[in-house]
This record gives sequence, structure tokens and C-alpha cells, in this order.
Amino acid sequence: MSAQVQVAPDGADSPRGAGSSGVEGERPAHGRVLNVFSHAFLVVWVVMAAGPLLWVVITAFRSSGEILGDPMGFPTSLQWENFTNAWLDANIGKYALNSLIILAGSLTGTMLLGAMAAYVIARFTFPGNRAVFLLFAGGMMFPIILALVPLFTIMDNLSLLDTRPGLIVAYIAYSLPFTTFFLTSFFQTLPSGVQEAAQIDGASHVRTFFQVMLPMAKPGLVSIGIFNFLGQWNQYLLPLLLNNENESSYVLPQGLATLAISQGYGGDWGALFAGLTIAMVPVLVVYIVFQRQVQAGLTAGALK
Amino acid sequence: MPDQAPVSPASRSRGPGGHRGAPGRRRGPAGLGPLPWIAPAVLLIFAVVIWPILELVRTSFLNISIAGVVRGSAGFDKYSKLFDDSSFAGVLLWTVVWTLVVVSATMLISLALAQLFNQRFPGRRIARWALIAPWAASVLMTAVGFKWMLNQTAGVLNTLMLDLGLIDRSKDWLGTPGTAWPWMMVVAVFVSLPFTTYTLLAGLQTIPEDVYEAARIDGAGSWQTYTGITLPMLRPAFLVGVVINLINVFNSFPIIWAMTRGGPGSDTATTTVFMFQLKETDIAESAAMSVVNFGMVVVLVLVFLKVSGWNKEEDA
Repeated sequence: MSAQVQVAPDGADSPRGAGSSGVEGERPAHGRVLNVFSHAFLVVWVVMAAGPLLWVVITAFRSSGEILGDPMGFPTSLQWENFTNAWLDANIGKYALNSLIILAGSLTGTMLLGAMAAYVIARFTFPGNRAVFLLFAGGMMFPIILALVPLFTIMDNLSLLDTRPGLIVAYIAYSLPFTTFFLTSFFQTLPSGVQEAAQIDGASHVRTFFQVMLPMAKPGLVSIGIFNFLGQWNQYLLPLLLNNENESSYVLPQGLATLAISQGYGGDWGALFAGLTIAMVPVLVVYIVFQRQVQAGLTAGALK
Repeated sequence: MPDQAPVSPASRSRGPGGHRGAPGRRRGPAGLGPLPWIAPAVLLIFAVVIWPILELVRTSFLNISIAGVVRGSAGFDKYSKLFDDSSFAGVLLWTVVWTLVVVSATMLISLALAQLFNQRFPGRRIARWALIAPWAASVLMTAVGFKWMLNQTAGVLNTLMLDLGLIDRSKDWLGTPGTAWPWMMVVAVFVSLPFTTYTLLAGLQTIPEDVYEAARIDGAGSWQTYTGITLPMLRPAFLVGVVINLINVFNSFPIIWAMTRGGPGSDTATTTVFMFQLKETDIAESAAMSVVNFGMVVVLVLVFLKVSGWNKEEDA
């Protein structure tokens, strides 16, 4: 990160230094001078990618009348009541709490079960090892959307429909294939010496797993954990299918979808954008805190 | 025995392919063996992922009333009903077009973006944050956001274009398939870019520096270097990106559902959206569509892997 000598260190403090073109790349033959064209391309990308999100946040501070009058404008005065309206009247606060409760269970379950399975698949040979691995790999290819009807029936039969445990179980099950797949290759890259040493020292399998292997696998666990957090926090289909009975038990994406539809009649556009903004906050916090791990983890996950 | 075994046996087995009989790996844990470790995960997947697939196949051969009462076997009737559906051919065609356009555009733009992000330039961190932004926001949220921007009466786009005098009166962008498809494709590409770019970026970063040195000493031009070195060495990451995108884009549901609900009629539906629409009228036919859809994904991925010689690369 700090290899660059001549130019600002990674540009952390120089937002979009548009004009400066003569940047020496670290890779002479290929990290060549950024010409005007590629720079323009980047600027367009930044505007396209961050623009809509910024627009949502800015619009969240405007009154519904202003938004209807001129969608593009800036707030004349900060309409904090949009957030109050979203949080209380549109129940976004309640839905956010529901989401947190579900995620506390599902994320823990996904990580624990996924890490356990991956550890054994990666580290031990046993009959059916390959079959179990293929089960997880194949599960990645099957999207939730296809199985909606039978999944509904099955959960109904198990009396798990419209319950928190039911939703948690479904989240875990659909996150497990990729999680296990990812962590299996991660565990395979860890040196086996430490594990053997622990066992020679008489540590039980459970102890070896929790006190030796898990700490060693932390980078992989963090990145797949964030990946699952993003996926489960934004999950819409499963709650729509399995958690649609009581409006009071909605999770955040359901609440936002309801808000998006109802504001068409109610006309409270400000609250909608405030709700969208609120939903983004935890994601942004997690992302900013763990950005480096996301990047590093993807390298390991995608290419190993 | 020292802490560090000189050659770690487990690391010799490379990736998914190397499972069979990796020599140094120990036998299963004593006692119950691996069962307590994998049973919970496997059971969950069987109950919540595999069982529904089996149910789905079974349902597609049944006669089921709208109320959900099973009225005996239907044989292949539901499949013929599906194939005879007047919308089916169009839906299939558009699904293929949708997948091809979105995946190709995503891969091309991601290649360019990854190349740019792999260089050092002022503001790179900001740009990388912006790259992640569509990923951090949910696909559904992004789609809803675009829907409002394209709104006929209050949308930003119409207002802007009216102000600039580009159009005379507000257009209903999502109301007609001719404009709805391109816009939905834009959104699909937009949400696929972050993950794909990061995958390719990770791939670029694994290419060792000295390879480029050697190319430069040999006098290779930058385009020559790119096609002769970068692209071939980027192949594993590129294949991962294509496969994951093929699966995701083909199965993509929230974008289209949030923006047009597949309408008018089924004119902007892909197979997954069409399947969801069919659920309202005939559950068994909808199940048949699911089975067909799943079959198509598997075939698509297998064909791609075959054509691209994935296995060759893995074994090499």
C-alpha cells in the first residue's frame, strides 16, 4: 500500500484527483500512465456507483413536497422527521430489530456449522468425504427462488412457518453450501503441523478445533462472515416466503418493500428514503470496519 | 515431532480436485468419526435444500388445484402445458438474451475496471469504495431505487431529460419491454460488477511482477503484454467470474420482480420470474418451470465448463 513514493499515499486524502495524469505505475509495462480516457471512465464509474446512494441519502432529508417538485434538488432544511416517521410510523425500527435477532442466530449458526463441516472435510479422510463435499458444491448452484413452493410446504409441515427459528434455519441452510465450500479450501491451506502438535499434546478434537484451528482460520472466517452478513441482512425472498404472516415480525427488507409500495398511496416519499438510508447504515459500518478483510478474503475464496 | 512438519501433507492436495486419498490426511476423528461434525450441516441441507428439489420434481408430475388439493398424477401434462404456453418461447428467448448480454457486459466492464483499479492513482481508495457501494446496498434496494429514478411522473431521468430538452414528454421507461429490458440489464450489470471486478482484481494481483519485467525486456507492447500474458494468466479468475455470474444472472429474480413484475403480461419475464407468475395459476406448471430452469442452469454451466476446458486447468 505504501510502495508508492512520488504520489500521495494511495490517495486517501485526495478525493478523485482528476487532473493529475502523469502517475508512475508500480508495474512499468502494465500499470502504465493513467490517460485521460481511463480516468474519465473511473470518474463515470464513481458517479454511477456512489451517485444513486448519495441521492438516496440526500433525498432522505427533504420533504415529500420538495421531492415531488424537483427530485434532483438539495434539502432546503433538514427534514429529520423523515427519519422519525420511518423509524416509528413505518416501523423501520421494529423491522431492524427483527433483522438483528434473526441474524444473531443465523450468522452464528452458519459460521459454526460451516466451519465444523469444512474442518472435517478438509482435514480428515473418511468414507463419503467426497460425496459430502460435492453436496455442498452442488447446493451452491440451486437458487432459493426455484424451490419456493416446496420449501413453503415443508416448513409448514415442520410447523416452522412464520416463526423465527424457521427463518433462521432457512437462512443457515442456504448459506451453508458456499460457506462450507469456501472454508474447506481455506482450511486446506493451513499448515497441518500445529494441528498435529496439538493432538500429540493430548488436546481433544473439540479443543483442537476451537482453540487451534479456528483462530488460525480467522481471516477466512471474517471474510465469509461478512459475505454472509451482507447476504442475510439483504435477504428478501426467504422472509417473503416464510415470514409473511405477521407484519410485526417482518425483517428490514420486507419492511422497506412495504414502505416502497405504501408510500405510493400515502405520498410520504421522505420516509421511504429515510428508511432506505437507515437500512444502509449497518452494512456500511461493517464494510468500513472490515474492508481490508473483505478484499483479502475474496482473493483467497475466489482463487483457491 | 517439531511444531512445523517440513512437508505438510494436507497442502499437497490442491483444491477440490485433490480430495481422493490425500495421503497424509489422518483418518476420521476417533469414536463417532466425522459424523457429529458434518451431520448438522448435511441434515440441514437435506431438509431445506435437497428435499424441496425432490418435492419440486414430484409436484411437476401432479395435478393440483389452485386451492392446493392434489387431484392425481398428471404425467408429463404440465410440461406440455408449459411448452405450449404462448409466452414460453418468448420468455425462454429473453432469458437467453438477458443472460448473455448481462454476463458479457459484466465481464468486459469488470476486466477494464480491474485493470484500472490494479494501478496506483490518486483517489484509488475512494474509487474502490465506490466500487463496493452497489454490493453493500441490497440488489432489491438498488432495483427499487432505479425504479423510482425511472418513474414516469417523478423520476429523475424524465425530469432531467425534459429539462435538457431531450424528450418532449415523460416516458414510461419500464412500461414497455423495448425500454424496460435495457434498463433492467443496466441494473443487473451494475449489481454484478463489484463482485466480478474484485474477483478479477484478485486474479491480477496473483500475476508475478517479473513476468511483466520479462515481457518488457523482450520488447512486448502493452497490448501484446495484455493479450499474451495478462489474459491467459487471468483465466482461472475469469472462469470463476463467468460461472458465478452465469448462475446468478440466469437465476436473477429480485431486479425484474421489483422493476416490472415481469409485465406487461410476461413480456419482461425471465424463466424464474415466469415461474413465479405461474405460481398464481398452476402450482404444478410452475414446478415444471422450476425443473426446466434448474436443468438449464446445470446444462449451461456444464457446457461452459466443457468449452472452456475448466478441468484441464484445474489438473494442470
